[in-house]
Amino acid sequence: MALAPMLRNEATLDLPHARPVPAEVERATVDRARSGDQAALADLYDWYMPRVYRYAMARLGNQAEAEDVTEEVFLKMLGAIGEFRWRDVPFSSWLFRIAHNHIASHFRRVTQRGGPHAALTPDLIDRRDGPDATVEQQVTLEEVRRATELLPDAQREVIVLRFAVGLSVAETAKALGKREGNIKALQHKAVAKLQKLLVPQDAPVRSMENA
Amino acid sequence: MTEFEAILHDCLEALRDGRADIDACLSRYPQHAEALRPHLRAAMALMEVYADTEPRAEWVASARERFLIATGERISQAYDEAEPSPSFFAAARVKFLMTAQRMRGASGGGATDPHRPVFGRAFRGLAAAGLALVMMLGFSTYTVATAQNALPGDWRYPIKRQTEQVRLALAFSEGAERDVRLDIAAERAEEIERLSEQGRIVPPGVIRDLNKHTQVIASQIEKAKLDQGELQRVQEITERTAAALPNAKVAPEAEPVRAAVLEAASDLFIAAGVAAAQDPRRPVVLTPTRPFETPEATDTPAPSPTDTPAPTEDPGPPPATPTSPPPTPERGGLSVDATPVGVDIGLTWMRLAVGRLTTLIPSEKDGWRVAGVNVSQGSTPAPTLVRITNQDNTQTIAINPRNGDMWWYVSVNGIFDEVQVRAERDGQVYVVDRELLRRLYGALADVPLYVLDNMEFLPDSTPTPTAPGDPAVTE
Repeated sequence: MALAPMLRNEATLDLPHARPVPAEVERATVDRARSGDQAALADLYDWYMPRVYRYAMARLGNQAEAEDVTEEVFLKMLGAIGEFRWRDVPFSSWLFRIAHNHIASHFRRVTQRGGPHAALTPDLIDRRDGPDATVEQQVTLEEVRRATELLPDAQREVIVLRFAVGLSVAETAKALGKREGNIKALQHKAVAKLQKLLVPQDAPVRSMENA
Repeated sequence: MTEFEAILHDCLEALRDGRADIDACLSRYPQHAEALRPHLRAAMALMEVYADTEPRAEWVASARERFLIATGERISQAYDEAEPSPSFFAAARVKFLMTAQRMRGASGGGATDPHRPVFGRAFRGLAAAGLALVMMLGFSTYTVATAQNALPGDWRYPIKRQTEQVRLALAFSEGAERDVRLDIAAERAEEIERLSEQGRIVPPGVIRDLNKHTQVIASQIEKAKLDQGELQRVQEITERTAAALPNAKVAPEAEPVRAAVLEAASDLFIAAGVAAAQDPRRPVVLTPTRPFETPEATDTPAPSPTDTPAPTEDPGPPPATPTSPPPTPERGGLSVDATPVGVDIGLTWMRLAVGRLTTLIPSEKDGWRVAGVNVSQGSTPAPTLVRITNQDNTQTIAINPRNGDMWWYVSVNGIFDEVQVRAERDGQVYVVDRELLRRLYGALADVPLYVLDNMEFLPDSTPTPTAPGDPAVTE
């Protein structure tokens, strides 16, 4: 995907944040799922699977790993949904807490084995093939992932939950156990850092605008 | 939160929701435009990249199936812990049928299996798809024909599966498609049977395919009006699945699939039975669904056994712990006292003991026998289910010796019914509604009720009262 199209005037992105279903429908479905209703569980799976997968891809960048993790997250959800309580957090926040914890332990396992996620350096993002090349070059998921992995944990989590999963600030706050103001501040810091990582400072801004 | 953070957030929300583009945001906050621009561009790039992250279609389908299977598993776990309910008893019915089917299979001769079609499936398959397949793949008719009998591992097996797919593709009405799916499901069930007979491992793909097609059929049972023939086939297939799958060798990773398929088979069997029962042309008597009463004074006079304490009116609280911890292995085996206890309701009664459970059963003289017991050789290891069958195999009583759960399996006019006569859950004993049972089955109900009324658990420390070494009562 070219960096340039992000300057299009039409906001025609198929963004992931769109709520799959009205909140009251989701609530009723979650309640049925808690009592073991298989159809309700299937609905929750269908609504949330793409987002959990995106979350996993955003964190792992590896299709096979993301697939495994997505399946494991839903199995954990299955085992834990009986204990889900509305008064604590929204369902989405609760689910992505599971995903967050699961990926954290996944990273621990991989790192212990000296796996590929052990080392990350800014050098991995080398976009200095020349100004024009930079403009037309695709920002790939892998580049975004590497960039986000360089962020402090909390900033990265905010970015992924907000932009990959599409959680609202309130949901993100509940998922991370932070206040909403805190989330907005983290979001700002993260975006500021990412724009430096993803958009080289010597790139000719004007040509990008015209692209 | 700083002012810039708030503005950035406002713009990001607008971008996310598609309410504004970058230019609109910048013109809304001209004093911050320079600072905002790179932030928004980076954020937009992130959103685009993330939005482009789509899972592989093949994975989506298979992962969903695995999840649904897991939900079935979880539900069955919850189900095990649940209070008895009509569906609990209905599920018990199917579990019983599984046992009965195994029993029939194990005993070899006896009743012929009416469920096994003599021929037909292969021909129907060929008629629909053989020609198309020959044209597509260039195989000879012979190859396609012999592929119909192929098992996984055979080089012709993929041809067989391909043939099925062609048939499915050629089925244009829902009814025709269902017919093909029934054929395919029956085929998978048969493969499981045959692989098991040969002691071979059943590949997970076979079980999954069976599950896939039965799921579709299940979804149509409520919506579509399946005719009696179809409903009967559904029951045949699920029964065969239920009989073969528990004994099949599967890879460890296929265990969840197996469990889920068995559960689904139970549900489907029941659904088909219920649908069939709703058809006035074929009255099928199902397990009484009227709530099972808790035991009270029995209305069947207890016999007067000579050598044991008089049976209590109430089977009493079972000594098992209230919930599900698995009972300890039985110390006493299964035995039948060869000395008759007495004669009642026209039958001679013997005392059966297994573990701490004891009851009276009709004697061999009256044509009843206990599966796997040879009294002359003393007691045998306690089976998980004691099965007592009458002479012409039209009735079987099955008792779980650990908790006294009891089922009665009876054939009336060629239709098998199953009645859960006694169930113990969470320390509570449930027994069948006697009046209802008599109304439905008349005098046939006498034997199971008599067995029920004489069932008791001996105190924990009491050795099993057996009289081994006497002349054989059973074979």
